[in-house]
Amino acid sequence: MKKVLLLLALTLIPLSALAHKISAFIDVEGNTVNVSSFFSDGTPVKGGEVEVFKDGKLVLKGKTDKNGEFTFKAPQKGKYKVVVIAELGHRTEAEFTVGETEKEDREVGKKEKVNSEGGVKISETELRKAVREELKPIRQELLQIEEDLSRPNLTEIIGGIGWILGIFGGAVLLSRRKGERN
Amino acid sequence: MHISEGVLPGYQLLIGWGLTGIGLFIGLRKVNQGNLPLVALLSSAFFVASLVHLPIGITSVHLLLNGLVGSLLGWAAFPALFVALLFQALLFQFGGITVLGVNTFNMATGAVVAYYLTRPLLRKKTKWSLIAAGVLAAVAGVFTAATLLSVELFLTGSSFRSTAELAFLAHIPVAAVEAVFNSFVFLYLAKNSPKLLEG
Repeated sequence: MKKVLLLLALTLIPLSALAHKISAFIDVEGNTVNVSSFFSDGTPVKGGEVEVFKDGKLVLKGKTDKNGEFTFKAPQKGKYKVVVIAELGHRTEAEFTVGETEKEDREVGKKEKVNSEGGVKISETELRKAVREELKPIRQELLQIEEDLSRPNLTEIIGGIGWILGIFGGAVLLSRRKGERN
Repeated sequence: MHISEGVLPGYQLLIGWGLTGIGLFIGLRKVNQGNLPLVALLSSAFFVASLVHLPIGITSVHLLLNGLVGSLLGWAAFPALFVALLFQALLFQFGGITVLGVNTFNMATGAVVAYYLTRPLLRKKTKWSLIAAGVLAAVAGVFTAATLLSVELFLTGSSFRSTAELAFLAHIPVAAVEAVFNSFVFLYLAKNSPKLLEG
């Protein structure tokens, strides 16, 4: 009976949900940036401290909400770095680029009207918006893939066990050879 | 309970590596041909245990099993946990390479504390002493690690009380699950390979 229980416990272990690092995922839409942060088992990081850096300088600070999300407007174009700090010594970094800002967006919209084939005039702002809408499912899918990749997968788990057993197995071999020589 | 890369200042990382180095030195002398397979087995058990997450709402915690590893291996828990944490850092990005010293020290110190506390109980080998040892190993392993973590984070400027409270509260369910698990393991070993409990 106890043997069965022990075996059961051991086989159940790899099936359970996975933990323990945090990851940050970033979705940039225009100049609106959404940071969502999770533990590797999918628990959102609640009330995690978010720090946004541009060229090494802190430009923004905030906290994640109960869904692990934090949304802000990027002040300028360019490359940014986000650091998320969660309780008990967890920390992660992510980088993202903001290609456009709202201000510029509006200017372009006023200046030029793009002629589409049907003769219907739409502004570049509208065009960008339409493209953004169209790409939304793809972007969400990409985020999902990124999230999935950040979790430990079975290959890594089994690989790790193999490495550990291999290292100690090698140590047994070495110590045996030493023993034979003496 | 893996501290991430970039949280602790350099001096703590160095001290962590130093202390882990001492632990590894003592531990490796306790490893011999006889107990190597057990070291390997428990090392991989610890490696996998960190993937078992307990849903408790406030934060995300996982099993540690450092108490179990310690009570069966003693100081040899240092090399066992070091190797397991190394591969968790490399493969899962749990913790990291520079903080490996500190993380190993936190976990393995809990293991060694569990070893000294449970040794007399494990030698008795009565049913209740084994169960008591299982509970004690879990509590000692988990809460020693939680205390060390709180002290280290306190030194980086976070409030000791709130960190320690969270670390302790969040790990009560972990200790409870491990207490049951350890007791089963000890009872099973007492029946099938009692020599393992005499280390």
